Amino acid sequence: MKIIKNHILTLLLLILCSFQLQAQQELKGTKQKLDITVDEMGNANLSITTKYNASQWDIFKKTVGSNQAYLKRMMIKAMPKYFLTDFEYEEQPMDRSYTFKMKAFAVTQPDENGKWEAELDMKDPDITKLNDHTFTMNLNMISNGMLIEQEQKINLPPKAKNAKLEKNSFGSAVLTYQLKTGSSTPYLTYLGILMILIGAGMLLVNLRKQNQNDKNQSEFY
Amino acid sequence: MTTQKNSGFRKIILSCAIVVIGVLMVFHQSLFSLFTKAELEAKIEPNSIIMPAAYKVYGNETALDGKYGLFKMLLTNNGKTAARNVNVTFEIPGYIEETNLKKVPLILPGQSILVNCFPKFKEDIVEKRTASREVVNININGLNIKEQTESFPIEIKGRNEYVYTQIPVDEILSPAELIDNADLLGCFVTPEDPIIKYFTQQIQEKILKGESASVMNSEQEAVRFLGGIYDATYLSHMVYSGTSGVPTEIGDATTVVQSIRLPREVVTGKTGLCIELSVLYASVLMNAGLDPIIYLIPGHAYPGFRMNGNFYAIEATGIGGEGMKGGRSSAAQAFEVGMKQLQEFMQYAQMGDERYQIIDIRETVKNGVSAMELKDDTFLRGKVDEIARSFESGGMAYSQPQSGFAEMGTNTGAGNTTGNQQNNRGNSPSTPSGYKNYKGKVSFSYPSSWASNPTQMPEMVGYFSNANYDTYAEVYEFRNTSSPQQALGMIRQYMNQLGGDMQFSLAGQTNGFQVFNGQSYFSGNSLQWVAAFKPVSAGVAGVIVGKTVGYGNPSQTVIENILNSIH
Repeated sequence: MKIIKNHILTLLLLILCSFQLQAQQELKGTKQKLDITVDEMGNANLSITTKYNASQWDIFKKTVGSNQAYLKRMMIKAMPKYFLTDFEYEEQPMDRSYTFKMKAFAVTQPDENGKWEAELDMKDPDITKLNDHTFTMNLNMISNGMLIEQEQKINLPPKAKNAKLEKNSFGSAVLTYQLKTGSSTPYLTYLGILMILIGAGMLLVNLRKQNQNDKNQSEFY
Repeated sequence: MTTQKNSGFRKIILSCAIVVIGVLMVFHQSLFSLFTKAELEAKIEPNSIIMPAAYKVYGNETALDGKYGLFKMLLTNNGKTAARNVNVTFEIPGYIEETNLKKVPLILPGQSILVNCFPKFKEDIVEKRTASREVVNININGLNIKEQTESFPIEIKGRNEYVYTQIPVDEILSPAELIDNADLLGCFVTPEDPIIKYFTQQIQEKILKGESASVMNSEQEAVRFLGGIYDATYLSHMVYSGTSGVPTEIGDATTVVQSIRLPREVVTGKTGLCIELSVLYASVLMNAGLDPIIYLIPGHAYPGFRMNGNFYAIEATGIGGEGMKGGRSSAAQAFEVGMKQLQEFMQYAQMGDERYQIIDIRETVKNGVSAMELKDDTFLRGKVDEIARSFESGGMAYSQPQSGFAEMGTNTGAGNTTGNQQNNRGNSPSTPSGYKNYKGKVSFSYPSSWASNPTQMPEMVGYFSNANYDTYAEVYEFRNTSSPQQALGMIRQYMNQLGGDMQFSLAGQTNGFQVFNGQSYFSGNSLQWVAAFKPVSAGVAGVIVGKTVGYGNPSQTVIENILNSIH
């Protein structure tokens, strides 16, 4: 999930490109909301909502905001390692905000034990676990004199368990969680074990009975 | 009795059957996969070219966020059973032997796996002089999948060839994408090349007679060093030679491929293009511990450096050539031209013109761009010795002119002051008619018609301007610093907080003042100014005199008069 950092970079780029110099005004952060929803296959749906003030919105609309293909290109460039698809752009002009959505494949990947991993590509992130499958992170960055207040939310699959932050061998944060990856339900396995036990029990009893019968027969003769 | 025995056997067989069924149920997935095949679909996005100069970038997953891999592949399991023990390998016959890329224990039905390839080329790839067309083979195999082999062609360029962009021409969205590979220029900057190190030592020893730019963090000393490099190219009779890039079809893209000689080749061959000279300067500056910058503008490039947040530039092609019209410029002239170009550069860049790009070499190195490995060469060292003998005649040893404020104020167009005005320099210049005096830690005269306005920044103690506010003088007093540069840095910080920005560079020293040329961008306006600051008891005091860009000559005389009255 290096996506998260890359997104920040992308959005910074957007800011740098779209922000021109502002008149004297109170310094207020630009609000950004980044939602990452990971499905059971490890793919992620990303939704980035950015809200501007009047002046910023005006400049945004005159530059990159009028060319959604350019926004898409910037996203692709900012995440060169990923396959991105399903781009969507929604604008809320009355709120001076826009939402950019896309899907990224294979953001998290499992190991053979059903443990899924997502690299956050940052050290000691200030991340809060809301529940077993939801995390939030608030990032404040100053770039070119501009304050950017970003709220990130990571939604893991509802069936995810034991989600936690770990460190990889390079000291970078890794978000891990358990998710059953079997292509069939575990009940079949449990039923199989039960059948083995019943079968083995029956076999034992029948073998004993058979032995007893053989013994009785030899005594009879 | 026989019936009873048969019944007993039947029960035993039934029990065994239940056990076998149970085992099958427990191990059904593994057993199922032995007899059924998963269906993997590969979607590959290949890179169409390899530039040997950037071979370290291709092999580094973290370099430039992984932009320059060999290919990326999405493997999706479209079957109904999980793919097990999937292994992906690749090879480039003649360059890279079959190499494992990724082993995946399990790919579930519907699941995708991402495979990024960052090839490790051998160092000898930089010996490749010409381009060739090669093939990349990718092999995908596993326990229960049908083995697949995918191939795509790739062009491996010669070591000197630089491709400006790989974006297909009909996909280009902005001028910046025409030089989408700008960061890879850093691969041609070779500060660790033994020949460049030797060349740098010769400049330091024979032209500059010692230098301490990076040690002292002195901008003046760094400008002297920049001039020293220019002198070295000038004295060695290096000439500017033009060539054009060759439009080339690479995959779906039509791009310009330019042959860039390595810095060692420029030094010993004594000829260079603007981009080659820029790369040479960057290599030498970096070797000397400075922060080199290459400025890219439409159709041209020139070098410089950054220090203490200030940018400097020199027109390296000023060496021209005896046979060329226009002759050859001195280091001071080349520096002056470079700084003028830089002002223009900043103006266009601030306006968002993407054709104006700064390549900060240290920044690219930080982002994973590494120079190629080059070996020492006795013959080339001999050539450098030969060149260095021409240094014995003595360089022009660029030195900063010590002149009046107005001469340094080239930014405002206030240069070329008359002799009378220069005579005004001194500790107590006379007040021109129609002017009144400001007296404080610094004193100066300003037009009587100007009004005193409310100040903005806390350290600003006076703000005077004409009625249109397009020509102004600001007076500052800082208590927390004794460095004029730091004082200007604080002003810049203050402007940044308000959404503006400014650039400035040291122009010289006079009458105890340090004089800076600068440009500010604020509220959609561009301001050009000259600042004169000096250390005073418990701080720094100074004046900034400037005008809004677009307001021409009428204000220039006023600015000159104010500048010449500062004491």
